[in-house]
Amino acid sequence: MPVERIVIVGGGIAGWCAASALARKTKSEIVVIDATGVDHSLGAPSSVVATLPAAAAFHADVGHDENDMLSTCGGTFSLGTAFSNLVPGPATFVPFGDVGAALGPISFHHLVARMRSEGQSVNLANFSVAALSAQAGRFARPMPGDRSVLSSLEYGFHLPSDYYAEWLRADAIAHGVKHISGTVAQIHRDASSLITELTLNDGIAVTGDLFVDASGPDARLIKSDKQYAFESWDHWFRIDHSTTKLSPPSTEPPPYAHVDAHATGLQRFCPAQSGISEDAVYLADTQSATSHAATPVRSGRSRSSWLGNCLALGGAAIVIDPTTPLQLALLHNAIRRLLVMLPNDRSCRIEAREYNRQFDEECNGARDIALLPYLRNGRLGEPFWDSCREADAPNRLSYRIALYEQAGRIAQYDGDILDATGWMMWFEALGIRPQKYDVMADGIPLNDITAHLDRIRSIMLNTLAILPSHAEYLAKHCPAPSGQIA
Amino acid sequence: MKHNPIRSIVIVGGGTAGWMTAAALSRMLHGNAIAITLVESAEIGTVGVGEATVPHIRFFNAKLGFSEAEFMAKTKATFKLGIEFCDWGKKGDSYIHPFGAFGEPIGDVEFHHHWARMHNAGKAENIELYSVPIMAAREGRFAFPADDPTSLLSTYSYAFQFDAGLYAKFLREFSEERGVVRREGKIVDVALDGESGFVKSVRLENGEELGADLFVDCSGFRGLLVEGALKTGYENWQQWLPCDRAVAVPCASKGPPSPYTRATAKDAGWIWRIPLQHRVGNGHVYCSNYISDDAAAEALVSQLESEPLAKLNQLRFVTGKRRKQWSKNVVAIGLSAGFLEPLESTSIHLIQLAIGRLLDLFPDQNWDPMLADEYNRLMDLEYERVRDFLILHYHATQRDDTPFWNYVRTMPIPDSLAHKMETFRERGIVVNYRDGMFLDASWIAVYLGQRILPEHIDPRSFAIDDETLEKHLAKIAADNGRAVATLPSHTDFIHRIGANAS
Repeated sequence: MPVERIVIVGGGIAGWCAASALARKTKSEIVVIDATGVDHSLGAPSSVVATLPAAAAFHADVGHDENDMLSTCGGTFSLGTAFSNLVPGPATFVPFGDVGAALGPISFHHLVARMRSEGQSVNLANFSVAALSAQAGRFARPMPGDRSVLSSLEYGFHLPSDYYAEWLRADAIAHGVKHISGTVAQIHRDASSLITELTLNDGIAVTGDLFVDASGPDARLIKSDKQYAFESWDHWFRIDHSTTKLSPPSTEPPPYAHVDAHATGLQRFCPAQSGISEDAVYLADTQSATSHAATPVRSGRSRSSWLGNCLALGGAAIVIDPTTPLQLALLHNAIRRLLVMLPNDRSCRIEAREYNRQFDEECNGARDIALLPYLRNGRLGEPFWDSCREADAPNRLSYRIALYEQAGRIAQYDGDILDATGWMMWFEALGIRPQKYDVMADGIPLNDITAHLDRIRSIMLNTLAILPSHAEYLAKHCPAPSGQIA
Repeated sequence: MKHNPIRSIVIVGGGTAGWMTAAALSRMLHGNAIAITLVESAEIGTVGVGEATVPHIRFFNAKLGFSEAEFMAKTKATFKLGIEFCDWGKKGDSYIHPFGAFGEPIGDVEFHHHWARMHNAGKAENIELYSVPIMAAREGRFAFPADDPTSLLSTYSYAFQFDAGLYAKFLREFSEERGVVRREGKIVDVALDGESGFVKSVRLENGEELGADLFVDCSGFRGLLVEGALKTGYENWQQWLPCDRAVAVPCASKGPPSPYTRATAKDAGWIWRIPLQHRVGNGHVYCSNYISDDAAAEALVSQLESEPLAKLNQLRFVTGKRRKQWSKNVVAIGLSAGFLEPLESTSIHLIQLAIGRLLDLFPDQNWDPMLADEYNRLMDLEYERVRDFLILHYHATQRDDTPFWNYVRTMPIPDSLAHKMETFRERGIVVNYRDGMFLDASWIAVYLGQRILPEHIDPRSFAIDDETLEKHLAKIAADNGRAVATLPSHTDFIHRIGANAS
């Protein structure tokens, strides 16, 4: 018998996002159990969450209105992330979307490597519409059917967490989701270890067929399964605390986030219309005093995130550095997978197995992305950063780095969240550069490459010149309500 | 680090693999001052693998700048919309694995879930009626897919069935025009560098010594360089794909050529039928543990539609894959890299893929081992995924009429495939991977064709009631039927575009 009743434990972004999607896309009865308090559902909280470009497709597929979301939440568009002080030298920018263009069969990054080998300096970000737009503070969504260079622009969002959760909640309730206030006191399981019923703190009993654990790193439900195992990433991620606070907004919110490294961790500035989120992750025992508002962070993942009829998502499944845009990317993917693998009976045997296989692949990729800035930082002589560099990289990440450094090629795996360009820009931001490039790039006269690069850049700059400012675009399409400003 | 470019390449072996490699390298390396030599011997026959192809071949031809009509005329090619499998899931069964999807998703749910639901309720037609390429194939019709993405006639792709010998000849002309030097002769010795163990040169019967920086081993099963000289090792897959011999023979066409290939399961293997413009290619792939060569030849000849046009060609092989397809300065392409029987016309595709990867990862004389590692990682994945797809055809069967079928039906299969089959059987989910050659639609076609029907489907399908869905399905089948009826016959189309051999 198909699952008729899905119980989601924990509200917050993870719980309400799942509730909204399930309510819109299935005929199941959806119940959300949550209590008020700080939203830990994604793992370490931040006042504004950042997304990757995939978030736009997720919301569109679920049926959410993007302008309504941005306007109601006071969100902004994001074109990437700027990094400073992680490696020596000026700030670098990791943009979304395409970078440059191939010349015949030769990929753009090989052309650039060739130019560099001739002693010329080339900044890859200068060949990204997203990076150039971000730098100029301009933004416009590509129009459908657009064939200009603007069509290579991809964008994510910055969404104030509380408003985003509230917007998702309102949408879920409007689509028939039932909300119960409370916390889980007892979990009842049947002989085959499937959850049958939850008893809440006020004695209310809640039954269900499928239980979604959106309770954050507490993993309130899934942790109670005998099969549960946590895979700690402490030896790779030396950070152990995070903080977040919302500062007043600037009049012109930049369409990108900024991550700055300091002696014992990273700080991210993530702008939205209603304020700027300042999020920090750091190693506490090297910090003179730990702020009382700090949240302990234990990086890692549940080895299987679907056990029996309990599926964990968000921070209950994986705790990953909140200064990356990965938390939401992983949540949205988890919800997408659940929709495709909606179980046919309570045992969820078949669905859970395939779900966990994909989750495993995806976690490895996400971990590698988040780990790279720590592993390949350039802050020599600082104990925290030295210890990060000394960690043994996971095999797959070592291979990716070696293949790129030694041979200029990008290895891709199942479940990768970044495409080849994404990896390339991530490497570039950390000063990881190929020592070699495609030998066939030597067959192209250097002048032809220079002319090709000049042409790309001039087309991009021309396109950019006619774009409105990010603030103008927001004001026209998705202005935040005036009462929302921090 | 400065490049130390490759200046010379020797391709060992002509045939499909050798000449495809020569053509692509001469075209793509143009401007890099690399001398390319191909050595082949008229004495050594070429296997002429896979006269049938998959749609990717069109990209290969397009990259070389071939005119499709000219290529077809020169190789006496026909169009191919899929493969018909007869007697596989059960004796008397027939299904087509088409180049195109069945139906379209309804709501957010893939078509096959809805179909399985209605099928189980006795309210759906045969899945074939929801596929334009299958219906066109059954009726012997063909035209290029429509450009308009809203047209039902845009829902398929196509490949070719051609004479591989003529294709090699065509590619040879192309390559020689682009500076590839052909040497005739048998290789009698391979010299290795004492220090690095790299292949330094090959010696021909006439004493001529051919040295090169990079060697491409297209010498077929033997793997003259990769195995003979470098002893790379072979991963044997016979426990899953036990067929080890084939006997092939062409015969005259009887009637117009069908726009599809046929693979008919036999007592201890299967027989292919590949219709070309001027003849039909036939072959019997079998397992020598279960049938003698004579009986296998008899089984082939007795079912031919007309007199054989040549002597029987006997082949032996071991299914599997070379442990390292790129070893030192030798890249094995074609049968020297591995052998997977031509059940899904993968041979030429694997050659094409290998060439593409070699170009992507093209080395210089610093011979960075990472390039070979990445090449081998990617090719291993590719071969393993094709392997699983082929095993599916044998293992997912109800046949218990011969010892051969009893073996393949009950043999242990790779975990990766067992997981895929169970996930589809129990829940209709297609487990697939990044970069796999076969897309979801191919897996669905073969699962259903081999009688793996989903016991349960995506519950979201039930958002649509039975009656609405039944009407919707009926409409798709009717629309497909009407669309297919507008297509010309396959033979007419070949003439219309001037692709007929003179």
